[in-house]
Amino acid sequence: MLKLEIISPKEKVFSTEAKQVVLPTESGQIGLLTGHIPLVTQLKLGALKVINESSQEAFAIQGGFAQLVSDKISILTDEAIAASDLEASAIEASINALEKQLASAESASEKEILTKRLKFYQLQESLLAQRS
Amino acid sequence: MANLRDIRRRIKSVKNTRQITRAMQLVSSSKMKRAQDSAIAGRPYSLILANMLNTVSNAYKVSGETIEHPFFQARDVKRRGIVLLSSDKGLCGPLNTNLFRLIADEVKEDASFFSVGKKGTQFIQREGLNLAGSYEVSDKAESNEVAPLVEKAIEAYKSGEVDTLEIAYPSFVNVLVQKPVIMPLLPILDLETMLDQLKNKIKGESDLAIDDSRAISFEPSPAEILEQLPDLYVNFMIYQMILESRASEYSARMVAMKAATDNASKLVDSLTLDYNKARQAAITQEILEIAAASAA
Repeated sequence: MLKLEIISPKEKVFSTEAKQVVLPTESGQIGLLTGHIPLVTQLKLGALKVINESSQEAFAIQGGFAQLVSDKISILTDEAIAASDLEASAIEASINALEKQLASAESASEKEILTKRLKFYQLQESLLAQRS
Repeated sequence: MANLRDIRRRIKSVKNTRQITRAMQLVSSSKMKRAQDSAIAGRPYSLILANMLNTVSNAYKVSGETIEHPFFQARDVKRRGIVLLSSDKGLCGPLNTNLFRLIADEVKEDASFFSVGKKGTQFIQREGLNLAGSYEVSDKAESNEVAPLVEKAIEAYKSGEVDTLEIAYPSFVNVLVQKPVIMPLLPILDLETMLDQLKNKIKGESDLAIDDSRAISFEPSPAEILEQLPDLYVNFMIYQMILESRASEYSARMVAMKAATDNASKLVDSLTLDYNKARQAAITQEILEIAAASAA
């Protein structure tokens, strides 16, 4: 079994065991099984999948880094949320608020931050659509 | 013996002060709890981040290549870059004073300061030191508030304006003890020691993966990861230290305000005693006068 830990600066978001973990990386998705060689990789915004015999779980993650050593995967990300915790109304409200902020944003750096957040919520929306 | 009205007035004013210091004590203690929690919550992240950086730089060493990244290269130190984390408000005991004394003792050579907190900015200006920038971070200390500071500091380091990057801050030991320290951040020369220190601090909260003797693969490539990782490391470390200095500030303030409240209570007690004595004396005096008048 693989051990998986998802850590954000604010908290340890999630910790579990899994048969297979699929990471969204810059060069495409990487599927990891036990016995994989040590790996350090950069992640991009996307869905992280945790696959077990009978179940599959997805997480929306906001880019970051992942490290795999001795079947233990540590994910460092700014933000992560489990697909099962998503709520359509909350996401929609956040997207609307962000779009408004983006329209009135002036500086480029501000726009960049807002766009990044907006993309994160859009990802959550698509995950939610897949779930239902 | 002082007059009754004066004593009554003093008691009232001391009680008012006590009310304020008690309120500040309670506010600080709740804020301290929050600051402490978020400082502790960030520790696993910093540990794994440092570990990851260590893994990447070790992989380089094994392959015999030298790391080109400026963060890993020691330079002749012509000017130190110091990020000074102090508080915006006073009334927190010797917290800031101790930190400033450490700086006065340790930093003799040329240095540029990046200051967070009004007290630190005032200190730098008063001492005529070189202030490269002052920044404000609110009580909540969101990570995006820290971004301008980090950007400026990294830029100064990369451009050679400063040759080191260090953080001076009151490290949180426990509620009663805050130790001022100057922690070197850049150049990254000795990650192992750093990692050991972090591990000691965290103690069992998060166990690191055991060593794996097999060669490590990097995706997309070590060079590209090295492009991003050190920046993230510096960014997060500064953020983490800010959280920790917040925890220190609030606990120092809580302790200082508790002492002030206790002192006020003592003062009220002794003033009340004086007041009662004065009152008693006045009554005795009055009885004496009446008795003397009726005898006459």
